[in-house]
Amino acid sequence: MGQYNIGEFEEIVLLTVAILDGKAYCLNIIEEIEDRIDRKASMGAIQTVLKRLEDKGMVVSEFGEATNMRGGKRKRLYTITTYGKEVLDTIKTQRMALWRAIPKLSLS
Amino acid sequence: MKNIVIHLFRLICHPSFREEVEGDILEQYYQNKIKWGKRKANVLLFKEVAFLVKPAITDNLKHTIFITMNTKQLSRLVLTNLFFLGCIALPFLPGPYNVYAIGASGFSQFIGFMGLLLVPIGIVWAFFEHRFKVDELTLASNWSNGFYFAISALLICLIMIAILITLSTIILGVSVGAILAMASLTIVLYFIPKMSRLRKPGRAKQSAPYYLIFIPLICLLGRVAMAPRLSDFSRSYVIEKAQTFIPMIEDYKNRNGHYPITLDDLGMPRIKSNFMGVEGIKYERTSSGYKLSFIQWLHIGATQEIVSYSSTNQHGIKNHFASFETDQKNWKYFWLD
Repeated sequence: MGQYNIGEFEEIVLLTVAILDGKAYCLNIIEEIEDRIDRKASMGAIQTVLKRLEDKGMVVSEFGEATNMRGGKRKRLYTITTYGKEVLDTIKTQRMALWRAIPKLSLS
Repeated sequence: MKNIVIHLFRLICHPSFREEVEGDILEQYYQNKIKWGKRKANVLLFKEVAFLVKPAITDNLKHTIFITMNTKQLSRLVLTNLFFLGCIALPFLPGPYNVYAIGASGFSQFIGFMGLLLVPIGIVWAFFEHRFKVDELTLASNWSNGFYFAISALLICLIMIAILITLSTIILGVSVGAILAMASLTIVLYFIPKMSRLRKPGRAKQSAPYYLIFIPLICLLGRVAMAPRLSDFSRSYVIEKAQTFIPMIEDYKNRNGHYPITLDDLGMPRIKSNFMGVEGIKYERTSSGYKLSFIQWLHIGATQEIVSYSSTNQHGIKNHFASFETDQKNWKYFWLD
């Protein structure tokens, strides 16, 4: 979506961060995307997008807990910002307007 | 396997992302291990780390693999490599014939082959340097700041220098050998105090291992990728230039009934090659015709290349181990050890 300079995959990741509601980190974002839209994503791709979304101010992050399974390394948990929600709302509204503009005949 | 891949990841990852990304990698590894077994988990781990090599994760080389180097040291390393590449190209560049240009090219090409012995030392040294910088380990450990790596590299360098000085003296003469010996001695004397400082405590950034890795590799790459193309170009150029004299020589024969004894008989100035590594084109009258020839220096693979024209296609070059045709009629070139 040109107005907010956000790509299709960035939008998916941002929606997933919103779904996970403050508990989002790289691995459960991958699982969530795979479960919900059957799309595989690598850790590198998700990390890249998360850093980009954070730079754009659409998500914020903070360190979570460390576990033995993680080699004592902490998780970075991502939360959607008000601006991020605003971007998603706008994209949804624009998409719905486009859907509504399609004549019924074209969809049959 | 897991530890090696994780360390590789630490080498490439930007320090500010390292904790969370490494944690994610390990968590996924243990999940895969439970689900698929250790072997597949290792393969998936390697694949995942390979996909993490992205600008957003690695950020830039200064923060990752060059964590042990500052910008000044990195610039110096790049300039040194460019200098060696320039030296390799020197004999094939325009300019008056210069024996030192040939020597400098030979020296750089020699580093590209013999210097490969230094690469493993450089890699191991860089690995330790990086580990101590990344993990912030204290000097309470036995880390010597690379002193012993530097000593090993110096010993290999001294052997290489001895071989090089001997070869240069035999091939190019005593003056080139002496200059090389003096230059080598100056360099060694410059590095000895720096090496002894490595034993003192301190965590100064250390770029030396990267010199041991990159200079031989870049020189080898320059020799393999650049030198053959440049020598093809200079050979073709000089042949084209020499070709202009052939009609004049034939014309002389038609007028006088015999070929000229020297090119001075044509009343033309001497044929200059215009390349620093080619001395000039020589003319020789033979019993049945005449020959034109010039020498190019290649150094590694073939020490000398004789490019020859014979009006009768009888070149008479001895002791060559390979010969090649050129695009021009009656022109051939020969490689000699």
